[in-house]
Amino acid sequence: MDKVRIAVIGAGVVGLSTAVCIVESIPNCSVTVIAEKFTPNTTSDIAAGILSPHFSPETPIHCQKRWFGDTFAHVLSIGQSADAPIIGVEFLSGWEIFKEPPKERFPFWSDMVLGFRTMTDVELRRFTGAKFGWMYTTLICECISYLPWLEKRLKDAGGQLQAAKIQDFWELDGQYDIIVNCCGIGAKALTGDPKIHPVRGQVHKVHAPWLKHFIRTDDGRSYIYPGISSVVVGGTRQNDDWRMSVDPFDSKDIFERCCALEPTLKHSSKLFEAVGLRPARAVLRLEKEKLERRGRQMCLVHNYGHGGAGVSFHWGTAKEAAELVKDFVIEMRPTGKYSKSKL
Amino acid sequence: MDQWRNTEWSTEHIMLLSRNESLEEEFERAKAAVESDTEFWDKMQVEWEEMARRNWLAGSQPPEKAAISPHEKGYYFHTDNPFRDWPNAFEEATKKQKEGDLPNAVLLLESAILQDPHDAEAWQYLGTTQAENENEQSAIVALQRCLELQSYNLVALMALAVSLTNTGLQQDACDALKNWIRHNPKYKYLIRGKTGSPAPGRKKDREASASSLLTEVKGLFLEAVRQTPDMIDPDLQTGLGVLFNLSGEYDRAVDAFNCALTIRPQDYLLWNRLGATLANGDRSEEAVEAYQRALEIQPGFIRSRYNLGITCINLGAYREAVSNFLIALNLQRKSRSTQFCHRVISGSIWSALRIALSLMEQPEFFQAANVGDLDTLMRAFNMD
Repeated sequence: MDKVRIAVIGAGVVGLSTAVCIVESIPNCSVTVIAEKFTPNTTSDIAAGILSPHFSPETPIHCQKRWFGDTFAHVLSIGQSADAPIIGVEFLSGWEIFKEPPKERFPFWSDMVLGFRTMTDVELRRFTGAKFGWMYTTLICECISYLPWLEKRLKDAGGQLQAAKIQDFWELDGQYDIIVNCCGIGAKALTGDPKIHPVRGQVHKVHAPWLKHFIRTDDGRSYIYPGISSVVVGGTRQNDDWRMSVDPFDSKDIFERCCALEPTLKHSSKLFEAVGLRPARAVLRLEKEKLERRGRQMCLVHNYGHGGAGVSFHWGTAKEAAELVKDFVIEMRPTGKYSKSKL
Repeated sequence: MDQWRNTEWSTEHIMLLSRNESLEEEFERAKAAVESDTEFWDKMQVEWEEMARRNWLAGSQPPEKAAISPHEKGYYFHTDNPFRDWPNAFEEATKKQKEGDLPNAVLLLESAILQDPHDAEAWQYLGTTQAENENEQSAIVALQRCLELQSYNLVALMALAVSLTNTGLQQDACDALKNWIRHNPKYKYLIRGKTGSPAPGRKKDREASASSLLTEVKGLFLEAVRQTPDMIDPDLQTGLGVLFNLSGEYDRAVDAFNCALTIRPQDYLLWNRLGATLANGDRSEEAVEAYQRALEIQPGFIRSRYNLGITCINLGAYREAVSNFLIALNLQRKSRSTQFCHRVISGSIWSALRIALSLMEQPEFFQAANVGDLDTLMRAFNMD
């Protein structure tokens, strides 16, 4: 049989990693990533890229655990290599502070990140109003470097990139055998899924090389994440807000909140501001679907709705999406093929 | 050592062979490794090299390709190996492997290799164990690494030929079997100054040369059999069985494996190969018997369990198929690698399980299978 032709829609961290997992695990297939925007213009490029899975509790915890565990192991192996900074990965320690102690003192991921512990009173004293806190070491995976590296890895394995805006899956009918939907917030228009909605996030990137630790508040609204060459200062969590332009009121508010956490930010210099729309969904959608129209069938694999955990879950969900693609591939190949026994 | 591994030795015998190192030497080696400051960096070096082989580090050049395969990829070590610094990891591994505890054998062998990346024998065992564990890609990479260090390793060459055959890489499988003849002291005279196969050209040429290579290598094996009429070499027969599988002559392959089994009736690998050949030749009922023999001898033999499941699917016995896949997955899970234990588990078994479930038309289990929730499935099929 000829090659199975697979299209992945979306070139953010989820789309590219899914394409890489497919091309590296399924023999005899061709993979094309089709997207309107590529790095550095994707939503992923705006994310700080911290690996800490703050996600909707409606998505089963054992799934979140597996996705995060797989992703952490993958990024950790990069973090331990000499090329880590080129790929955009570094270790980062810091504090997550609470106004009130949370119901669960130890989140499910506490044994997956490194050196997780509760904060001491002395540590807490630094943050006005903080009653409780966690300290841990995790990894940061900056998409501005990581996405080009994934693109290279994809191309090295024979994958292709194509710029186009897909408005209807059926545009691809006949050109591809399997379509993988990784288009983040774009899934709203493409699938008509009413469950996906944007959670707007606005951030500053600043130059403040003296900052070595992250700080995050429990509501996820205020955070300071020192990256490899700049510090991400954020943010906002505005439900159903589609505005892509920087809001000066938000800018001022973000900066004030973060200065309250880290007063030295006053001496930082602003590099730029940006807005991204988190593709939020109560339950991340990772499943197969078969569409039919005029007697023609279309095989779809959905992998979207990562909310603010796109980087935290990308590799785990990519691997599973590749498995689902594999199921379709097996179905398509002549029966003798999948039932082949092994010597 | 090459002579030692010769063909009269059954798989079990080879397993029992201890290496030429005395216990004292072992101890000294382990002690020195622990004391040495460079140990950490050596490990880094191994993992680094593996990563570089994977050819995905920005700017790194692809390594020079081994003559044996065009499908070079790095070996993925487990990240949370609990046996990481174990002394005598290799000996422990062979013990576990004999007991049928394949997942822990894999972890121990990885540990042995991280302690000494040039241990060809450890790479060989890692390859054969990964194949038994139903992880073909890892098997292929490990065996290739073994052959880079020890091109004459007959066990590795045969195992590689089998794995490449399973992957559908006919030409590479033939190359490995030709090398098996070339390095076999008993048969190497059959290749008199012949050079390797011509370099692959355009697609058409490649296909043509693949089929002529298969004919050529089959000829070599048949000639070897003819030259030794008064004795049966089970390894030679195994090679022949593989070649007949490649050419789709399943009945002749069955004869070859049956012939090898007359010399090694306790070789579970052979029983599985016979079973797979019968299954691929549409003789599913007989295949079930052969797999059952393999599993009587080695209950932890995950590949054979997987094959049995596949044959159950072909026979329409979906519930039995699901049970066999669940047994295999549960066996793989019993590894000591706890944190990311699902990584030991192979994707092919999950895929097959999903197919069996979809054929059973029980969509209520799809979700559990999609997310790899083994506990729920074990409960649903009363296997907990």
